[in-house]
Amino acid sequence: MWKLAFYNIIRRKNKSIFTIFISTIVTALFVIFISILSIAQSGIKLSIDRMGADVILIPNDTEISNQEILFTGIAQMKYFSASEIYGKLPQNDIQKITHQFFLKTLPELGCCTTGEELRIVGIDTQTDFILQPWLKQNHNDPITEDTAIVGSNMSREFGSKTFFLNHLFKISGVLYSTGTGMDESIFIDISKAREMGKKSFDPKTFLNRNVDDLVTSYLIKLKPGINAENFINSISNLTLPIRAVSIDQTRTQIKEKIKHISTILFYILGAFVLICGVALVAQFNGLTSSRRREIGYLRSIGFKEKDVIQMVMSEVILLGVTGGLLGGVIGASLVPSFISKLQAIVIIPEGEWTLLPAIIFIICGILFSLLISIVAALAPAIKSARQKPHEAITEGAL
Amino acid sequence: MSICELKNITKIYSVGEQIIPVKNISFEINSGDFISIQGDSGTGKSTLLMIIGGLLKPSSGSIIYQGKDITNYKEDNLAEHRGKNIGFLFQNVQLCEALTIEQNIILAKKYSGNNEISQEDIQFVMNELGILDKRNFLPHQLSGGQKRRAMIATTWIRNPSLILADEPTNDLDHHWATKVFSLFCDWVSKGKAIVFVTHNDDWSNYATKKFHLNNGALTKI
Repeated sequence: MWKLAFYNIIRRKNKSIFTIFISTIVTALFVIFISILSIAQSGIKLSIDRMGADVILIPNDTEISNQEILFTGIAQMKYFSASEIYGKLPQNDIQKITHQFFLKTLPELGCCTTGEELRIVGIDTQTDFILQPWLKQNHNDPITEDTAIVGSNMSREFGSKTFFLNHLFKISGVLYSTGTGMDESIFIDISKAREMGKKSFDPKTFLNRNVDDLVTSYLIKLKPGINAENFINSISNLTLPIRAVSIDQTRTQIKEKIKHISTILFYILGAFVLICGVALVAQFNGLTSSRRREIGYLRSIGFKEKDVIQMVMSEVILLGVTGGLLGGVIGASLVPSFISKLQAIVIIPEGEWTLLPAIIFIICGILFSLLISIVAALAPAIKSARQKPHEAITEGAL
Repeated sequence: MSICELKNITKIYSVGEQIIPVKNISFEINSGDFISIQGDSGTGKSTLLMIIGGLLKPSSGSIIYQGKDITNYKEDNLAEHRGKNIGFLFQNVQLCEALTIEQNIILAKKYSGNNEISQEDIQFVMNELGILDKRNFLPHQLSGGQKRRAMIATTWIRNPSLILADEPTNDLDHHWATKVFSLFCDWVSKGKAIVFVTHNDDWSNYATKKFHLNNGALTKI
């Protein structure tokens, strides 16, 4: 029966190609849809699983949103004075605290190996509790003056050398994917970052303040039982030139946004599935009705109703699997480009996109294509199997 | 030996008015019978063949096939019966369009209840019908006469006990029409039964029993 189905497909090329084309399009969209959702969800999950801080303090003149701070690598050079802020924080609520100093690369001045503007994050290796959980095993040489750790999206190999702000760094560590802005950041020693800041930028950039006293953010882990919202309120009441960002709340906001985007994408996908489903029903209807006499002949040589259904469905399965495979592969290969296009419009936490999830989604795509093909073909298959053999063979001319 | 017996078969079509192409027909087909049915166009000859072959259910009456009443068989049982016992040669040739002639012959054989497919038998049948060199052709690549011979080959290979042929010489030139009728004679001599419909007296002369269908009634000539 599979052989017969195969011959039916290859010897009716045009019709088969059009059917496969429809399945391919709808499957590709489906794979892109579920992949984007999965990447966003895994991005959020990653950040929940491993993000060590509960609250981030940033200068209140920072021009980017809380979500951008957490989930993008947008380079910002805004600072506040550590000596002015640190002492006023409610220390009793804080379990751990570390500070970071941000710089951005100056690609237009040919400062760096890379041609794009990147975020350099100076970290205090003594107090840092953010980076450690993300370091890949065996890639955990300590940060020194001349070494840097890079985020997972930075395309730098462990042990390679690279220029940032006219300084040669050896990559001493590569982070696991975090689903946050850390994936697009370069981490170096905070003293080195400040030194490079002084050398590479005009003092006006730092408002002529003492660079060694400046920080871009405090990352705070609260003691167990301390409510982040209450902590943020207490910071706000101090009327300091800082903004307190709750990581949990930011995540919730992102989740809400993703939910809205998912709904929109779901409706778009639903519309496509409906249109393609109708097109497939028409295709399969045509496929069976154009073979009415042939099916009548097959009935005359002993084909039972179930044999006719099996013959049609075997063909549908082969078409569905082919369309699903093509659509799955095309969809999966388009996912990175779709994600980056979507990220230009809205912040999407980016989880890992490797071969394994791609293969899983391609398989899901094949199953999806199979499902809609079978659903679309079931009625035409049953109808053709149940037509009276004499009517089929004579096309109603008796 | 009786192969098929029709008892008081009537077929009524209701298409606005009632049409009765087959009216209270009873007759018996025995092993070795070579039966011709003649009659004007549209008198119900094809309908009668389809009823005999279990492709069409009669409105009343019964059909006994090799001692079994198949009148009320379910469609699946009828399909099995057709596959094992009946060979149809339709007025308009029909084969499986996606399969080559050889594959069509193999497919027909598979559904005859006998899965033993001998390549020698297939080659012999195709050779006898002059289509051996067309074995790998698709039906649409053949002429009308070649296609009809291919259809006869699919029937021959199945070795049915009853062959129902509706204008079997359509599309065939005199040489091949004569060859086909000599094959029919050979099959009949081996105990099969053939019922064929024709408008041509030359071919009806091959028959051992001749009938005429008129106004739904079958009369022996």
